[in-house]
Amino acid sequence: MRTWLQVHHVAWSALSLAMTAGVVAVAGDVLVPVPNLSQGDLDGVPLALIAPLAASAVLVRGVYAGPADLEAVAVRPTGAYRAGLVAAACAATLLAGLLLTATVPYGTAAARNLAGFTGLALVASRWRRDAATGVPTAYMIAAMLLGGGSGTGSPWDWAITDSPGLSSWAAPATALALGLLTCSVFPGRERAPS
Amino acid sequence: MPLRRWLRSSAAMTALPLMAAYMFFVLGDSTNFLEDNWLSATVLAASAGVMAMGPVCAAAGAWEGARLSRGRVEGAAPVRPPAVILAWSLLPILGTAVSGLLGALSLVAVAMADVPGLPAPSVLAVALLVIVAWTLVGFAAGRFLPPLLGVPLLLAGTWLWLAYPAALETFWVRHLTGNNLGFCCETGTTFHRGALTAQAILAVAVAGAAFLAWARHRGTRRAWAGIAGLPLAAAVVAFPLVRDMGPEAQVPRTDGLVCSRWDGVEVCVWREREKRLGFAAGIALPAVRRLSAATGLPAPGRVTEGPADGRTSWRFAVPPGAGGDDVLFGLATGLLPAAPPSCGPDWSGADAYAPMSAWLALTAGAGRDSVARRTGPASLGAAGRALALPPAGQARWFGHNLAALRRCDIPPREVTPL
Amino acid sequence: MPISFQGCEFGHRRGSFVLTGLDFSLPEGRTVLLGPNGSGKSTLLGLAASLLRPRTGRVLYRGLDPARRRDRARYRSLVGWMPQEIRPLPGLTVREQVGYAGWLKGLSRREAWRRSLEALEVVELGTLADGPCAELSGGQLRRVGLAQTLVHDAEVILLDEPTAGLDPDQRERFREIVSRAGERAHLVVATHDITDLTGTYDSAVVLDTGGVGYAGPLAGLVTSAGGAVRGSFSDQVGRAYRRLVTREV
Repeated sequence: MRTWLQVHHVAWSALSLAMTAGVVAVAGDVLVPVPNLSQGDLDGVPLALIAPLAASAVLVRGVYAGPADLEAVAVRPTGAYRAGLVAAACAATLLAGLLLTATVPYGTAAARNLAGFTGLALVASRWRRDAATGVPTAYMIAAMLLGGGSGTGSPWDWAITDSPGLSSWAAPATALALGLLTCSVFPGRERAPS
Repeated sequence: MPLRRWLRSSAAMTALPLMAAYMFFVLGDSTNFLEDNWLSATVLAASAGVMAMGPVCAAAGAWEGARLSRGRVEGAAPVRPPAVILAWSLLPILGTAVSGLLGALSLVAVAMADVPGLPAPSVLAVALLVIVAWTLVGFAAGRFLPPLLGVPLLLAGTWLWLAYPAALETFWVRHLTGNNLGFCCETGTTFHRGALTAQAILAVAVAGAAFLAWARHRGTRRAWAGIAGLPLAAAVVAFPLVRDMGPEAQVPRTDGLVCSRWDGVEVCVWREREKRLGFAAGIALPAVRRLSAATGLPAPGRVTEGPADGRTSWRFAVPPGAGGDDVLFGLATGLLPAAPPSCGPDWSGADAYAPMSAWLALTAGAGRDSVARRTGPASLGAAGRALALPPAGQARWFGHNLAALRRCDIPPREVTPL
Repeated sequence: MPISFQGCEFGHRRGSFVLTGLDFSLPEGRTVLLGPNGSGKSTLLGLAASLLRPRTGRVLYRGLDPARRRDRARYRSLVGWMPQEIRPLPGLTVREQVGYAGWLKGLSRREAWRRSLEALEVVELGTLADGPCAELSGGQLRRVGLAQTLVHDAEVILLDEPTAGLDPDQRERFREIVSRAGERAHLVVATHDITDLTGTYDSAVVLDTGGVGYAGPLAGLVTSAGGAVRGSFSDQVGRAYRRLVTREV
């Protein structure tokens, strides 16, 4: 298992999660201006909501690192290991977000975004593995451009809202569930041999 | 490789719809706020292009860079130089960027249908240069990072670099990114050459560093330090060009006037407004005579939309849609100082500004309702009180209050209604 | 009997098939799998390795069907597969890489570590066991791939183009190692290399336009393709193979 953790860059994932947590804690409420189209004016999105993109990319990169061919024909349940890694990372982040909710304003929302971005990337990996992490990034940018801004919490622009309501959790939780299913059920190979 | 397959295999083709949609959204209804000059249209199109295509092209570059890396281009026998190899992968992305810019231009061109002139090629060239620079950064990143990291990093990183400086109070940063915030310039202003040059310098340095980083298979620490130092050196060179700039990269325009002489007075408008020259002269010339007589100021030899000294030349504006009263009001207030003197919070001279504007506009021939709308009933009342004075008294009233607007030690006089 | 294919069809996309009507068993012993590019050699090995799942039909070994969840782990522990491309895992030594492959195949960490050295010695890489895998040459990486396949004592070993890209010397050495490996397990080798087949392989399977053109003893390949021709046996096999796949008369 130790080699599996090494092969799947778990240390890097942990480091990126820690760094993201640091950014969220220190500068999470810094607003990134966005040309928001629905409001026709510059609107700010907290850095805490954008920063999880980086951690999510490193995590997904780790999930799909390693000898995909060999892991696809492994006796050991490598799919479950991958799903476990993602679930553990998201759970740890959420726990940290909840514990620090009083001191870190966007902690929970950042944890939610990590889960949502990772889920989206894992689902997108079924379509094109190498481009998977580009999908949540594009989604985030689209949400910033077209979304309703901070605090509104419509189901699709969850990524830019700080809403504590369940509605902003529905889509990312679904994406994560589908993502976990994707990376645990489907083999690690990108494509079949020619 | 056949052309179709070459294009189809490029990430740019996948990214094209995304870029097009993004550009459409970024442009949005901004075209409604365009000024009546092609420079503003070009800046809007270029800004939308850079904002929409810069990040996507950078991400596409990261993808292509990783493809070249996977294909072990650097390990192969060097039949072609690295620049040529890079160019073949870069060209489809570049083609996409050019088509995107042209698309943006054609969208703004619809709004510019009645405005004479052409897009500003230097603005477009710098925009393209900025896109190329970030695309090359993508190639360099793709050389070292897997697409799973490189693509989102470049997509979000470039986007943040372009979007974030708008939130900073340090204005010079935003003039280096090449985004230009979609705005410049009013017809009476032009793009700050220094800003454009600074953007170009930085973009060329970033592109050069990115290319060197991509092309170097292995390098010494000194070589890598040199590559990293290139954009820094460029930033040092570019910084003085934009250091003292305000939030917008516009400076007063000095050329592009179209003039004609009537009764010994030359009337000049911006060439985009040439069609309105006759209309402007018909309104401005009688007003100039009335104002000169009433204020005691010498009649100017030139009335212009361009630079004016207030003595031999007076300033006015004939923007599209402006009616006679608008022109008169602009001409009249052009005789007042543009900025107040630095006198501290107790300065009372500002109280004279609106009554004097009203008096000048009424003297020039503007309608009372129009003046009241602009200056308010109190100022109109004060102006009416001044107008009741004999001509010499009116001239003295104007002279005294003009001095009050220019100096700290003279309080305004009779600027309230009775 | 090694792996059998029962009515198998496979295609990567809906409506197109790479392999159709597979209804045969891979022969025992050392088998060479021949076929032109795109004939489905790698796909056939992918099916046999349980990397791919057939659209229709099933693949069986000792009654185990890898499509069934309860059979899958046991099936995979009995079948070893070496893909065409062997990638060094960053940060791992040669022995760690081989040990990791053993661990994936169900060996305990300790057992995988022990057997990894044995497997590396079989492929003559024992002296490089503690070096970084990323610094190996192409030929050495191929041998690491073979060691990864041997580490868990599979009963069937599937090798996909194991000598592709190797120079003649390395090919010869690799062939000897493969030959030795064939003494411990049933061996199926997909290859383009049709020189010196005799002595290395007992049987041949020839794939042709999505199906099996021939499956049987190597000697039978010559007669099935229209009889003997002049030259060495290898030449005859080569000619016969070309006749089969090109329908030369």
